[in-house]
Amino acid sequence: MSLLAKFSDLAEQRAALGSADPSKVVIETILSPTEAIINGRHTILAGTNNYLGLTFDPDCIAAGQDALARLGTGTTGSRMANGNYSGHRALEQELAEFYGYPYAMIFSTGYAANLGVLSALLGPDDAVLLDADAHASLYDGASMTRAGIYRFKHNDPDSLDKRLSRLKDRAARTLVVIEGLYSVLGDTAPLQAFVEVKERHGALLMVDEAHSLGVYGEHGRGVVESSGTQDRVDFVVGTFSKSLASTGGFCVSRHRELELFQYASRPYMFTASPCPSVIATTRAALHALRTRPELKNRLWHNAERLYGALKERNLWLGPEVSPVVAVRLEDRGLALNAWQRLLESGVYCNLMLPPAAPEGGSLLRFSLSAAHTDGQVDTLIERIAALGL
Amino acid sequence: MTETESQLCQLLRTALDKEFTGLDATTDLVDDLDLESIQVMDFIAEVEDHFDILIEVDRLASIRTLGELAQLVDEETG
Repeated sequence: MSLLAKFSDLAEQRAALGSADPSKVVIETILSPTEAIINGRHTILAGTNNYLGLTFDPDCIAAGQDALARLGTGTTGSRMANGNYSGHRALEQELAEFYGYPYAMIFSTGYAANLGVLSALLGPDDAVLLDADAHASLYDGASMTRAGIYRFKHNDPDSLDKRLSRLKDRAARTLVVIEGLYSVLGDTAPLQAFVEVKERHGALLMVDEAHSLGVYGEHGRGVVESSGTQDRVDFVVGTFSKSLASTGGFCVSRHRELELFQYASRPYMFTASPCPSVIATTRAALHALRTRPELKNRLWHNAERLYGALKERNLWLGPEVSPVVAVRLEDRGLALNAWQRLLESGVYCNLMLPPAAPEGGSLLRFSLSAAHTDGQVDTLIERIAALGL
Repeated sequence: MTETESQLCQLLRTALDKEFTGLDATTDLVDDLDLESIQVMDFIAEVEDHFDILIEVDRLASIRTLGELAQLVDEETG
């Protein structure tokens, strides 16, 4: 069998999708944070994780344009090789201040942040316990190490407790990895309970707030803030590519050792550092997040409207109101058809087929934005209702 | 069928709430039982709790059949 033979299965799966293939979607023109032209049709974007709607924010654009003109298009290398730009350091300082942690480190993508933190933290005699529904980047990061990798049941502190007990002395050398908001079903972690369990066993806890930064907590710091566990969590990781509307990732911590990760984290050392314009737009977006609470309020207004309207129609939704609204469908064919009909009616959402959806089944996943108008949310509700699910 | 295999068969029925027939050591967990990989992972969590063991995620990659899983469980329960 040739090296390439394994792709024949993928080719068959792709062919079976036909035109209902999300990877074939081309955004011909992007008009605003919530509108685009797709297949020549005016389309509402309801699957782009643009939670605060800052992609066209005038201040962010101006900051990016200014940095582009003054500092150039790229850094052409890693911070270890080419040096730090003052913007890299400034963003790290601003993130540390924002979270109230003493240490912060930025990465070129959110994916790299997860790889970079896990690969720096974990060694051969260590263990990592991941929530069963944790993002692929967290599993990939753990796989880069020689630590023992174990799963516990999704959002189940008892399941974590049992496994830490089974690790015995190794529990003190274990990292527990969870997410603040799970991006598929839109459910949040019971952080208080997780913190109590990890402390009882002497383990450390890392929380990925990729989808919850800017969304949860009075100041938008995420589920660590809304759950009141900020002082007890060990590492918070996140991305700039959702609420902050750019690209990049970060880790903040109360542990001084984070400062040394730059010497131990290959995904940090061996990739180009974020370019100046990206850093500038991210800093402007973080400023907007901190100074414009109306963005978060508007996002929640939209989330509550869509979730409530779909709940009234007895659709099978995720367990709680959040800016991620997932409609679960048992039948894969029905999900494919519904996704395609929505796209043809001018609504873009995400399609998740087994095994991507937790607990089997398929999902139509919607993500709300602060930039969605009431009229756009009305249209979303109408067009989802018209599917007759 | 070994004692461990027999317990795994029973667990499959209770954990997945499904009446499987013709289970034996050669039963392929994915292909024969028509399970999604995510259902297999959930089943593994039940196996861990039932036998009070931990199974490394990496070790699962080489497990296809009920018999192979039973062998792994026996190794872990020592």
